Formats: sequence, C-alpha cells, structure tokens
Amino acid sequence: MTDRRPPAAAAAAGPRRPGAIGLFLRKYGENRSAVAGAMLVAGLVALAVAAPLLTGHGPRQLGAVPLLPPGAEHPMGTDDLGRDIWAQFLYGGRTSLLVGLVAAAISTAIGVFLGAVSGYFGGLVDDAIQRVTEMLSIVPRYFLAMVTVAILGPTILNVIVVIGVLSWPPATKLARAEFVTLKSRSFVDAARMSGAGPWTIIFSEILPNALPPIVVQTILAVSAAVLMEATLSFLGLGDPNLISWGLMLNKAQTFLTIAPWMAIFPGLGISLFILGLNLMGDGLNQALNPRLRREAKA
Amino acid sequence: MSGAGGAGGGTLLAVEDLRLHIDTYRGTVRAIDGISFTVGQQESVGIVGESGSGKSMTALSVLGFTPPGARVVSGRVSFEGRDLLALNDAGMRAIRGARLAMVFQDPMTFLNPLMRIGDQIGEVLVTHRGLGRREARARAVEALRLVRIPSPETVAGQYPHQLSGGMRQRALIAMAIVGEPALLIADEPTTALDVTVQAQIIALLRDIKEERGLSLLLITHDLGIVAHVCDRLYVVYAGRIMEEGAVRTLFARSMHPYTAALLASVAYDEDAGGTVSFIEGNVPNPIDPPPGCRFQTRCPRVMPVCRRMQPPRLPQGGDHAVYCWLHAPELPDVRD
Repeated sequence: MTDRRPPAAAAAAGPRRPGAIGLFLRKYGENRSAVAGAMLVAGLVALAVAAPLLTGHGPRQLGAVPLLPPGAEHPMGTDDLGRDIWAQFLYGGRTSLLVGLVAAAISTAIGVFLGAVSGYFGGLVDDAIQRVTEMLSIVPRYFLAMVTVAILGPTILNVIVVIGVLSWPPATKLARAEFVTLKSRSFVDAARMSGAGPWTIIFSEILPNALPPIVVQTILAVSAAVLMEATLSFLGLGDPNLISWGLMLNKAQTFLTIAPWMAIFPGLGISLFILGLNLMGDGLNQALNPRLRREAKA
Repeated sequence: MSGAGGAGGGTLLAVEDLRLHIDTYRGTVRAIDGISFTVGQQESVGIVGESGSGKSMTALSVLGFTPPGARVVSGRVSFEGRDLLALNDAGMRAIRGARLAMVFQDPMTFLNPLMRIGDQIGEVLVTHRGLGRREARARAVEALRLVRIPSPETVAGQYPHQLSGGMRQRALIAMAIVGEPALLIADEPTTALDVTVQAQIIALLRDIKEERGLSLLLITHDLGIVAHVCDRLYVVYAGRIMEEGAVRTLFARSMHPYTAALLASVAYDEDAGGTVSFIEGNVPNPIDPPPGCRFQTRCPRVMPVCRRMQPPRLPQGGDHAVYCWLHAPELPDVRD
C-alpha cells in the first residue's frame, strides 16, 4: 500500500519542535508563488471587507462626470452614470467573495458527504451516487445554471444555491477516492473492531485523514464559483440589486471602446482573485500532500 | 464485571467445526477447514501456527470480521451463550469492544494518526456506554495507567507519531481493555516490536489478564510467547488443528510430528553456532488441498493412510488430543 500518511504523521520523522501547524506554514512558505497567491487573495479580501473605509463614495452614488478616466478624485474613473468605479470595485468584490465562499461551502458539503457515503459503503449505494454524479457532470454546468437562475429569478440567494448545488461532482469524486483508500487502513478496522458504527468511522476516523485534498479542492471550488457568478452576472443573470464584478463587466460592454477602464478593473479583480486562489490551491496541495513533497525533494 | 453472562461449565468462547472458504478466481481457498476450540473463563489459550495456517483468520471470524469474498461455510461460534455467527451487524457491534476486544499486531497502522491517544481509547466508551468526552478521557487515562504507561495524562493528549512502538502497542492494549471485555483476542501482539519490548508486552498481557480476570486468546507463531502466557494451546496447520492440550503437556510430550518439528525449530541459546532445524517444504496449496492429513507432504513419518483419510481427533487423556494416524489404536483399511 502506498504511504498516505497525513503531514502530522509524516512529520514524525523530522524534528518535532515546530508542531504540525508550524511545519505546514514552513512548507507552504517555501513555495513563493503560493505565498504570492495567498497575499493576492488576502489583499482582495481585505479590500472588500474594508470597503467603506477605503472610499468616500457610495457604489451607487451619482453626481460625478460620467465616463471620467482614472484620476486623483476617482482612482478607477467613473461609469456611464457618473458613479465611482473604485467604490463599485470594492463593494462588487464583497458580492463575488460572498458568492464564492458560500457556494463553495455548499458544494463541498454536499460533495464530501455523498463521496464519503459512496466510498465507505460501496456496493449499490456507491453505484447510485456515482451514476447521479456522472449525469450531473456531463450536463454543461454553465448552461444549466443559466436556465435555472433564469427560471428561479436572479436573486443573490438563488445564484448562490444554484452554483453550490450544481458544483459538487468534483468534490464527490475526490472524497470517494479518499474514502475508498482510507477505509481499508488498519486503524479503521481497529475502530470497527471496537464496536464503532459507520457514521462514527466516517466522520471521526476517516474524514480528518481525508481533509488535506478536500481543503485544496474547496479552494479551487471557491475560484470556480467566483468565475461562475461573474459569468452569470455578465450575461445579465446576476442579482441586479447587488453590484458584482460580473455585473460591472456586463455594463462595461457598451462603452468598451470609449471607457475601457470600466471593464479593465473588474476584469482585473476577477483574474487576480482566481489566480491567487489557484496558486494557493497548488501551494496547499504541495504542503499538505506528503507524496508530492517527497517527489519535489528527490 | 467479568464473568457476567458466562455460559455453563466455565466456557466463555466455543468454536465448533468452523469452516471458512474464500472464493478466488483460481478456486476456493479453504482457509479454515473444520477448527474447533474453546476458551474458558479467565483462561489463556494460544493458537499457534505458521503464516497462512489460518490462525489470524480464525480470530477474525470470531469477531465476525472476515475479508471480502470469504464466507463461513459451516460452524458455530458461541460466546457467552450467544451464537456470534447468527448476529446481525448491530448485534455484533454491541459485543465488539464491550465484551470481546482485539489487540492487533502492528501498533503503527492500527492507531488513527490524526486522533489523540486519549480520544481513541475513550471512543470505545463513548460508543458503548454513552459516556461524555470528558469522562471517557478520564477513563482512557486510567487505562493507560493500567498498561504501565508513565505519565498517562500527557500521553493521552499526544498523537500516535509522538509515541515509540512499544508505547503504541501499550496504547492499543489500553484501547482493548478500556471497555472491560470478557475476552481479549491478541493477534501476533509482539511481531512488530523489538525483542526487548516484546518481553515487556508479553509480561504486560499476562499481568493484565490476571489483574482484570479476563480470558485471553493469543494468536501467534512464537512458541516461546505461548509458553510464557498460555494455559492451553492449539497447534494449527493449513486450516486444521493438529494437536491440542495443556502447554506443559504439549511441550513435554508432543505426539504430533508437526508439533515436534515446531518445537525442534525453536532456536535455543545453547544452539548458538549450531544448526537451526527447520521443517522441509511449504504449507500445501490451500486451493486444492490433498485428501487426508494436511501435514502429509512434509511429515517425516507419513504412512499410506495419511494420504487418503483425514485423521480423527484422538483424545489422549485430560485436555490433550492429537489428530494423527500414528496414535490411532487401529488403522482403517486403505487398499482399494
């Protein structure tokens, strides 16, 4: 059997001083692009959280000259109605982050639960769950999301739920694979031998050991959800009452030739956030996966 | 607590004519082919055999824990008067850990790497007694003290990788005894350990058995361990019992050629520099075992009848019994 000991156990070989978290941070810190990714994400999150402190303008506040290029008063210019794009960028980031985090949490929860049940119990349960997962995977996700949001109505709640509910297949496949390997580990037998029931084994014996790849998958799910929300908004299916980067891009289309800054800044926000999340995902994967780490050393 | 609900005659566990077959693509493996044994109240019984003799499989099937593809073809496993083979999953779970516990061979892999020692030990109590985490933790510390772990409070808060092999094996034993079982099954409990640590673990098992008044079923290939710990002994070969009896009797006057060969292959100190005797050949293919005695291919005293007919159980007085034609009062006619 391949060694899939999680970092805590793998760390036993080395000096024990730093502890699991310290060791993880050191491993993560060695990867420069991962640190850059984490800084990007942290920076954008900080901007979104601190939005009211960073701008004097409201995101919907009218009054300035329309289509003003970036300058001292409006660092990112103004849009066609004379609203400050910097303010829109900050508040739009809030929407994108909210959708990304909540939708990823929903999809990961559903996916990990189904994958765990599927992988642990096997047999008919596994077959049933896997066939449903595959069916969902082959339906074009964006198209399905567009149709569903169009039918249910473009509110922020609908967008979040639709993205979350349509995005669980990758998490399911991953969790299932982890559970299939981990359930045959000896400590699971030991738990079973001491009379533990299936749910105890799934949640307190196996799940903690399956977490590292699931964490990585969740990070990538956040970036996928942000992108999906932006796409939906761009196509006019986002919540029209809430500014988001996607909605800003949508509005910018008409003025692309005369006011490119209307498109550039929200586009940059989306790109940098997704870039940051993906770099973080890679970094986490390397820091948490003992196999990759060993290969890197060799 | 011990001895509650015990069956009559002081018998705790009785296995009768257990047959376990494993279906493979190449044929049916007869891993256990008609094994019967008993473990009495507060008795310590050893099952000794080579790798592949079916000894571990026997322990696992007592716990209702057979590998996929394996099926129990026949037999009864009665424990405290209940037929374990007839129990459903929930019934079996209620017994595992509470009345019947197991100590495994490899302390490295049988502990959950991401769970604190105290929580792993206490989990049995949370499952069976519905204890709260805090109380379970306190009992776990007690159990760690029982297995002679120094500063058990500290160890309870540690993870498996922070312990040495011997400590981990002690933790596994603590995990097995914390539910106060009536029977402890130990499957090669010392195989993965250094020789010095082995001796400590063996002494610990023996002491705990005495202190807690529990019964012990020890599965091993090591006759030395059996001599130290066990009252009675079953010698198993290729899925069948060859000889059974009190340890003293078997060591003093073994009657089966296989037992004799096993005893002869134990390397004693005085043999240092000399030759180590071993048994020629290998365990027969369990997929298509020859008719007759399983040991015939390697037996130095094989007779024609051994190749035709399975020898019956021949009682030799007391607990002692041997399955060998050499000791039959008369041989059946095997000419055809």
